[in-house]
This record gives sequence, C-alpha cells and structure tokens, in this order.
Amino acid sequence: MTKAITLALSLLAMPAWADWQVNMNEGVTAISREVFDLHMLIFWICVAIGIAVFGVMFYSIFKFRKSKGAVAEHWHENTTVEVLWTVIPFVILIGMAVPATATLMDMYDTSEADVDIQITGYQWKWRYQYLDEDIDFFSNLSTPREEIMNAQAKNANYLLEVDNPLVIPANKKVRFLITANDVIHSWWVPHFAVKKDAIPGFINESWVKVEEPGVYRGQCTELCGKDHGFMPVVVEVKSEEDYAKWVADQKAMKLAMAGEASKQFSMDELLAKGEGVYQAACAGCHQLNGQGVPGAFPAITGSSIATGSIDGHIDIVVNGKAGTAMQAFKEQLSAVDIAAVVTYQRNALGNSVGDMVQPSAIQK
Amino acid sequence: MKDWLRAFASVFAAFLGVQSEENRERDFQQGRFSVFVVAGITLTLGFLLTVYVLVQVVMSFV
Repeated sequence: MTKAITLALSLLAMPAWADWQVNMNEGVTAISREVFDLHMLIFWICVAIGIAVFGVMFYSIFKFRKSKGAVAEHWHENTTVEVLWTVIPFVILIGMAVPATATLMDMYDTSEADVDIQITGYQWKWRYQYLDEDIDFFSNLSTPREEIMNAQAKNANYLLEVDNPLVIPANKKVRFLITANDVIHSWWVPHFAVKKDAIPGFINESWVKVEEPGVYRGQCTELCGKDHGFMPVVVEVKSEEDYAKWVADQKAMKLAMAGEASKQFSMDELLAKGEGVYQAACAGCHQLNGQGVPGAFPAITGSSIATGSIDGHIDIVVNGKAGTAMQAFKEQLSAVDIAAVVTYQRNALGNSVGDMVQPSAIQK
Repeated sequence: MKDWLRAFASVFAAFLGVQSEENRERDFQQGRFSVFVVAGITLTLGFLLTVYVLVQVVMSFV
C-alpha cells in the first residue's frame, strides 16, 4: 500500500507533468478569449452542479446507510420536487444561453472585412485564394517523409508545418470563405477559436482579427481519407507593413514564374526540380520509391502511363482521372512543376524512358 | 370551462414532463379527447411564438 502511494506521488511529481495542458487555449483574438471565458464560466457552473448533486448523493448514502438501520421510504411521486428539478436546469440552461448567444453572434458577424480569403480543402492540402489580390496558392505538408517513416528524429512542429503558410495581416478583420473540392474537410486553428467545416458545394464563413504577429498552427479536423492527419494549417500573422511587402513579393514571384514557363530546361534541371515536386505532390499516394500501394494506388515504376506516350502521361497529371483518387494537378502545380515531375517520373524511380518535356509544352 | 382549464394545465404539465398520478387518472376518466387536441395545438403554437419573439428581441440588441 505504502509502495503504491509512493508510486502515485512520484508520478505526480514527474517533470513531464508541467508540460501537460489539459484545458483549452485562451487563444490570440478577442473572440477566442470570449470563447475561453465562456468555456470557463460553464465549466465552473458544471463543477458547482456536480459538487451539489454528488454531495447530496454521497451524504445520503453515508448518513442513511443500512448498517445504521435505515429503512427505505415507499412513495410514488412528489410533484413539487419533480417540477423543481425540471425548472432549475431549465433556468440554468437559459442563463448559460444568454452569454453564449452574444458570443455566437459576434462569431457569425463576418461583415466589413478588410481581407477576404477563400479556403478550399483538397485531399490532402489546403488552397488559399486572396479574393482581392489575385494571390492563389496551395499549402502542402512540409514534414520530410523520413521523419514520418521514423528514419529521422521528429522536429518540434512535426506534421504541423507547411510549404506555403496562409499569411494574414495583424489587426485587420480577415474573412474566410471555407469550402472543399472533393470530400468534407474542416479548417481549424485552435488559437483563433475558428473551426469550420469545408463542404463541397457550400461556402461557410468565419473571420479573425489577430492582434499579435506570429505563427499559429492547426489541423484538418474532419476525417477526410488516408492523409487526413497530413494536411495541417499554418497561419502566419504579419504586421501590416510586412503583409504589404509579402503581397508585393507574391505578385513579383507570379510574374517571374510566368517568365520561367517559357524557358528551356535541361534534363538535369528538370530531374532535380521534379524530385522535389514528386515528394510534395505525388509521394503521399504513389510512395517515395514509386512503388505505390497495391490495390489502392498504382506504382509509377514500370507503369504503362509513365513509360508510355508522354502526352498521355501529361494528360493524366494535368487533368486527373475521373472516378479515382488521381487529382487534376493543373491548378495545383505550375507548368514548370508539371514538366519537371513528368520528366522525373519517366526517368527516375526505376524508369528510364529517356524523353523529357518543356514547361512551354504543357497545355493547361 | 373547468374542463378547458384542466386540459390546458395538463398539457402544460406534459410540456414540463411532470404530472401527478391523481390528475392523470382524472384526465383519463373525465377529459374529452378533442379538448386535449385543441389545448395541445394552442400551447404548441404559443411555444413557437414565444421562441420567435424571444429570438427577435435578442436580435434587436445586436
């Protein structure tokens, strides 16, 4: 017995205990703090009810125990008590609904936003389109496959890091229009207290106004298939000046990319670029070594498409294949990326067709 | 008239989910079915109206 108590006490004293956060986040927006306060208020109401109910119950069990000669009363009903235990919870619920309604109405007020961003869920990535800025990009998981396969130590942001984070300005009201392209996803950033389902054919709205610049991380929170756990959300909140600079950079990059599409690439350049694209866009299903997953995702190695006519190969990458998990990549990848990844698949992963395609030949 | 009042009281009790055995027996022996139907429909409409008005009042504070 003493041993057991010592063990229990030593568990309590373990240093890891300090890292445990059981409660929800207070968050970084006015709304998230309201939600947190509401959560705490209702938590303490529940604690009070729990103490009252279990207090009376345990007291009665102890005070009127059989060994003290207690005898059960036999009676059928007591309308007064029944009305009381119906009306009291009713009043408590209405009382809790008052502040909750006020917070909900704030959350739903998406009017007068400074920035509008469409968020689209894809299997298994997010697409961010800035409706007023002509900025449009995909956000893919950037955790290296080696970490996922336990070949490397996992970093602090394991599975919570992306190649292109969503960038928003601080102290501005940012409205999100959330939808999906294939199945239902859900866009969730705990620090913003925003969690909205992304449903194909529907547009759900939400908004944030973050005071402090910083990086905030979340996840897809609606089971959406094989890589549901591999499509995190990363939001970078920048000061207004930094945000303006970022917008300008994005536009300059877009121009540069358009110029790159007409450039002639060497085989080595395409292969080097294609390997990176393959790992980010293809390896999730077709696997890092190109072997696929038998019965679910076909292999690239020795595939009749990847070793057959190059036009057919480009077509399936650009337009996808209806009725299968093979997506259309024309919107997700640039012409350079498509040319590179097609060339890579034909001349790596055990294939050696020997031909290549230039970005200028990719018809999107 | 007394029938009607009792029917409304019993339907209201049903809304709460609480009724005494004594009243239940009385309702089943003396009550008329049609009176309970009318009382039920009236109170349901009243409940809907109350919720509607409540929501309108809350929304007007926004």
